[in-house]
Amino acid sequence: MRTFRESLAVLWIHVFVAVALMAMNPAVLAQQEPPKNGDGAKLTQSDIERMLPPTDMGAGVHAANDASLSPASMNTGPATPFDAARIPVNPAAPNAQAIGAKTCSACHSLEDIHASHAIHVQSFQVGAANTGPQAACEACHGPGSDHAKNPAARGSIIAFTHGSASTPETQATVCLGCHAGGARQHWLGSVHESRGLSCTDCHNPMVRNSPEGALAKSSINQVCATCHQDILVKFNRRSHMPLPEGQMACTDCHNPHGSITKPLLKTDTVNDTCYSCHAEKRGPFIFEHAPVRENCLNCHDPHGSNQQTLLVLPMPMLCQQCHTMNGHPNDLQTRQSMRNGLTPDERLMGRACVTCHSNIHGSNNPSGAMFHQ
Amino acid sequence: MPTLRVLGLIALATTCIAWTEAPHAAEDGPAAATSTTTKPAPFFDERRQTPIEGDAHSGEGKATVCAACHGPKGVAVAPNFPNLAGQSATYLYLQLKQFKDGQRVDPIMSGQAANLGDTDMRDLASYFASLPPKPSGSNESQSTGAHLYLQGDPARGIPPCLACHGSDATGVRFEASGKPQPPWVSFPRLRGQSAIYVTKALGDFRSGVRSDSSNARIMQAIGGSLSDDDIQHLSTYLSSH
Amino acid sequence: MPKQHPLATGLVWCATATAFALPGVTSAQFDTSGTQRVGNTQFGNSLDPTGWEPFLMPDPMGMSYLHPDQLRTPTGSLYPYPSLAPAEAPMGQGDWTYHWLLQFGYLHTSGDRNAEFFQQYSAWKNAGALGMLAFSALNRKTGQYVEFRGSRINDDNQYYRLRMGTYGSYRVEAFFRDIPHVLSTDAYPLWNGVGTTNLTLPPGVSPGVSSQAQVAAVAADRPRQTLQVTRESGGMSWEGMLGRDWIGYAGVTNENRHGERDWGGSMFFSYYYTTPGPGGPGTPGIQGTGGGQNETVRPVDFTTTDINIGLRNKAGAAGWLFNFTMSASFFRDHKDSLSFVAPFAPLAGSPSVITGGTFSLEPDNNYYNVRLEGSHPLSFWHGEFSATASYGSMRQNDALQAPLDPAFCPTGQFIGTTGIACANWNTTSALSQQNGDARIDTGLVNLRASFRPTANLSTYINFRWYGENNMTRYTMYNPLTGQYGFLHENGSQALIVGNLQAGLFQAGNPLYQSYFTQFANIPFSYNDRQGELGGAYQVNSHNSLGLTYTIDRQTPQQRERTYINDQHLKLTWDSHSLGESTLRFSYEYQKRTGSPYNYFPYLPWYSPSLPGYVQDELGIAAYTVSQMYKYDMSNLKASKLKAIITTPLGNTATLTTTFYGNRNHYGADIGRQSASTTGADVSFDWTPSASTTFNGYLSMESSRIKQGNVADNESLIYQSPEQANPQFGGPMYPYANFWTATDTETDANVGAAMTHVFTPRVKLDVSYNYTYSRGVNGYDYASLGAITPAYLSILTAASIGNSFPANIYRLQTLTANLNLALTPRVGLRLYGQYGLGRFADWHYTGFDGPGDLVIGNRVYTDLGPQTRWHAAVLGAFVTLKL
Repeated sequence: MRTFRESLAVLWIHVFVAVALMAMNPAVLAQQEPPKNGDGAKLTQSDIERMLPPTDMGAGVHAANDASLSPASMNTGPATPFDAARIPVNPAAPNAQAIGAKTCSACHSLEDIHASHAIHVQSFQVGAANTGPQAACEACHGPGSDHAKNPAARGSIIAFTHGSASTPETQATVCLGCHAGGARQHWLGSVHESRGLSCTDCHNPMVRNSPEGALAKSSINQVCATCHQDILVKFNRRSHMPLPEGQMACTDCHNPHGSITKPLLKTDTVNDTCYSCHAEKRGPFIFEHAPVRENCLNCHDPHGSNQQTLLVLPMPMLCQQCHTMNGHPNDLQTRQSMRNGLTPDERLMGRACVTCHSNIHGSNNPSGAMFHQ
Repeated sequence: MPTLRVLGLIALATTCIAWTEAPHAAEDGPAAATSTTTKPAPFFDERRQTPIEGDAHSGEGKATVCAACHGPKGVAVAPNFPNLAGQSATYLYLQLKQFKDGQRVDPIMSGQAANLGDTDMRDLASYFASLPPKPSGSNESQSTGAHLYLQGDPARGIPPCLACHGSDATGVRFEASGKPQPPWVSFPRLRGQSAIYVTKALGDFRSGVRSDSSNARIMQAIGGSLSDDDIQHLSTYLSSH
Repeated sequence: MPKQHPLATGLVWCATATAFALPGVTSAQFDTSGTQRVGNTQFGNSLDPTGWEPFLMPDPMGMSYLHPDQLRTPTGSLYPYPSLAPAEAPMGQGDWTYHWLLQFGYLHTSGDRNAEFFQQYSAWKNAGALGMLAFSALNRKTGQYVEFRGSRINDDNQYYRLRMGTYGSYRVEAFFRDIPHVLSTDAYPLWNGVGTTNLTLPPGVSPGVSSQAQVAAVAADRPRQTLQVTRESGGMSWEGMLGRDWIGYAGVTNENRHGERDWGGSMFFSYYYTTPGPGGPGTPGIQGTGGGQNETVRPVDFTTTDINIGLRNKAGAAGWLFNFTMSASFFRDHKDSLSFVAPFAPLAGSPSVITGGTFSLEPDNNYYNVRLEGSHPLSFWHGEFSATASYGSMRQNDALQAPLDPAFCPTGQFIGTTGIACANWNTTSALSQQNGDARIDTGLVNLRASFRPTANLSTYINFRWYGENNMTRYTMYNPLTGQYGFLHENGSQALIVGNLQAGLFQAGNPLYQSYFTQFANIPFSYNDRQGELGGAYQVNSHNSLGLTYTIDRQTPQQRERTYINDQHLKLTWDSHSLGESTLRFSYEYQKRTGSPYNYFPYLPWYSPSLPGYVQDELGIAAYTVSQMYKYDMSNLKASKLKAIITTPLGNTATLTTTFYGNRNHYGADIGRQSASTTGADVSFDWTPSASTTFNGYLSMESSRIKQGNVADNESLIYQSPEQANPQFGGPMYPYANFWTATDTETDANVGAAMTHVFTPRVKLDVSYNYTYSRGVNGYDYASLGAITPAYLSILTAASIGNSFPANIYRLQTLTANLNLALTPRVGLRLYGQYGLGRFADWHYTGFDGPGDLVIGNRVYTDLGPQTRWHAAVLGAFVTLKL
């Protein structure tokens, strides 16, 4: 308790020092003016440099939908992967023409600054740096001429937000135009696809709010919890994997983009997923425990549990669901079996069943048929 | 106890670093240098602007001084002053407010606005908005300026002006959709403005002289794509139109 | 099997892959597939779970000059405001720009800093810490980039992550991390040598001669220890273009896991020896002096090396979307056995040769998997055909241990009066094979055709086959004696019960010819075929209905049923018709049936199947009651419902509501009878401006699992031929011995989090979370016949009652983070977390101090998690940045 009070005192000292420092130093206060694009500041040179480069679309507006537009013919610089990015067709504005990123960012200059710090647009900038960005904004939003003339007309560009006139399929088609295969191999027909989710329900390529993955929130777990809050709170329970502690993400096990193993698991089976981190349980052992080899979920709830080691029930009840054999397994255990009961019993106290059947996940001992050894 | 000592040391180190950092920053930071002379006005956020309300009638009474430059009926006495007649009331109000608060600086207007109260500004804005705008000329659409205004020039990154200022440059009024959207009412009518004034305004946006409000930021970026010729063409188009 | 160094293997694989891949780098569009691989997709820690906190300073300007507020995701949640871009500087004369950030300081813990739940995955210590070290550089001309971030709480809790590459052509990632898992902070192991493979008794305790009181006295004086396992891993991966439309990838990770955890050690039952106390029924019984349970501590000393290498095609001219992956995993256990000296003699009164026990810990294993995926558009109905085939093999060939440890059953000695010579069992010559030679192969084929015949209708048909073939064959046969079976619990069962239950079968030997024992491993294998037909119909612009039918046919071998049919019917409704809200609703009905249930399908692996088995005149005691159904095999009727409603409120708030529930009714009286869950969540997000965000949530869940069981009539065993009657309601399993147990759990979670940016540049995050779980284990029984016969003269109905005391887990956490920018380059971060916890678990009731760790012949190590604790961690950091 004493150390606790001590550290509180130290905390207050820090606050005091910090506040005093700020109050005493006018130069510091002057410096408190936000460094850029904040209150009172104009677009700085570095802001402008970070914005999308100027376009050179003069000759190219009619070639907007032509993916074969040859990068080499436009510049002598090395071809980069995004030069040939295709401008998607917007079914709602079939006659619209591309206007180039600079035209877009004339009005959307703040969006431009944020997007230019996000990997998605940064990568387009690289393509643009050499050959002119037929890509950038319109590679995702479709040709922008209709929108530029009538920005309030719904559907005039492909929008990826709430109430968008573009269907989730139109939106996903844009993304999948480049992000085909790999982790998205099984997107079509996956639960998130068939339930009408769009890529931008989870991703926001316009900003960098997450260290990786161009996510809509600052971590994968927060993104998933947008809809799956019931799962996230289970990680608050007594036993859980280190997800709230930031050491794991939902995507360590699940692939939200679709998979052939329910529920969105990356491997062939549930157990294969578990073995990825718990390789010692993979064995095989000379003596296998049938429900263990069959499915880890027979006994464990990977999202969290109120029992030790993610168990779905306390032992011995967990085991007694199947172990009704004669002898010691099928006796009713009562509260008198507790350490302070009238009949303290090893089948219930402490680690209960696994005090003796310790190698419950399988044994490689010649005397381990009952997982004693 | 060692804990306490270590924490104390960190506090001390922080203090030292902050103190030594500060003078350096002051030396090489031009923003800091200027801030000692004139404190910049805070950024003016117009994004939540709703249509203003004012009393045009009482505004008329307060407009005597304005008439000296902007004309008795809101049509300027000389082309270097903007016509106010028929202008968006919200736009006018916002400009007066920015003159007063310092986001816009003008030798005459800054002084004039300094003495106005919020009600005065609303009334004045409403009054000028209620006046009939200067009659427009021919509705030509073939000039270079017309093309820039109506189509923009994607090749050079110039968006069409009509998106925000209306196809006839009288402004646009979209229905509220319940979603975040631009403060349409704060976008000015451009039709019938004098060429000299439009040239000055676009020049101010381009150079960053007018950049301390959210709307000015948009125009600053657009202005960056405009050449002197473009500005000339647009001014001609808007004034003759 | 010779021990290859797994890391060496990994590096060879990786180098080969890289050498093969790098020269081919050319241009085309390239993207990465992080979510394809298992593990290591998140790098954060308790100080900053996102791993990005120092960069999460919202830009007060917002996202757009054009409009206020943030837009929403298609479903309707608000996008958070964008973060301020960090200040960048040019690097050298080239086109590179960079920025960096360093946050360092000191963490101080106080209060009950050793509380298990406080330390669980944080392992807080009073020490200097690195909040964040981040560096990032980008060449805007060439698209080359380098990103590094790392954080360190202490040696056991740190991560460093490097990503570099060129946009569009390749990416290389590397990481190093330590993740702690504190398993117990209240451990008092009796043994010396914790962490090694040899647990020895401390001075003052000698096997077999110390009394329970003497051992208890020594145990009470043992030093408190923390049991912890730390995962230390590092890895590298590469992903890059190999040609137009071809992407290659390869990765290797190596993990060392080390530490200790609670384990066991059995020397036959102790509870058998409990006798009535002097006070008679309803008063404490007297612990016996037979058997023994030893809660030992096992070492964890693992190395796992995973390698994956693959190639994929992004559907070029051929139109095939290909993905081919080979992966391998090599697990090595550097401590593959554990032996312990037992403080008590299993058989009271006489000195015993069985003075300890031994374990085989997990064997080294190798795993290989190849997977080929391909999909191709179909020429009609906008269809796509997709096929996946995968083959995997898990293998293990560790040297096997001798059945008994010569240290605890020395050559020249015999087990009690059985005549079983230790020499016949304490060498590997007693084994039928010297190595595990274990192998399980798996195969998977998945075929799918998806169609969108009209804009409103999408359908698919999916067929999946999965098979698992356990090829391990092990016979418990001792060539030295010609006996089958095994000596249970380090020989202690034979010592105590004698030849009647030595665990051995031998044809022609009257002592053993009738013994019922398992004599070989059971190689559980199964096949699973699954067909699924699904579709979604867009009824109108606001509503979409979906229907899926699945039939899943499992054909397990060596199990209680030869086939199981699981049928699922799932209905979904996705709607935008409730104003601005998005509703996602699903209901699923499941029905499981199957072949007749055989309560004992294991006879082929039991001694009656061996030649020379002589049926005892009393028959074989019924293995279990024939009406029992294991819940993975029993009939089942289940329904599951879920609704998620996302409701935008104005332009700055969102309300998300979830309702869910499931009901499972198993067709069983004995075994799991039913399981159900009901829950609801409400979450409110409010972002009035870029500088303020608020989230509040409430979650409630209740669940219930009920099971039935019947105690056998133990008085019949070895006494009456009625012991062979497996019928529920018969003499062996009478109705009177029936009992049920119900686990009822209630969970509540409430929390709020707020972030506010004060001007100028003071950011405060505060969050409060409250978790409350309460579990009640109730029971009901037909008569006292349900309890252990030895307790009949000790317990009464009144003392038994009908439930355990409630299990409780309550945790309140208050976390605060204050970031002060002193100058644009220097800042201060103050971090505080306060936890207040309460815990109750009847497994540990009565284990109040080290003096309680020995009871009867049982020795425990762990007092369990602390019942009441509060602790705080405070941190002060200096943040420096470019």
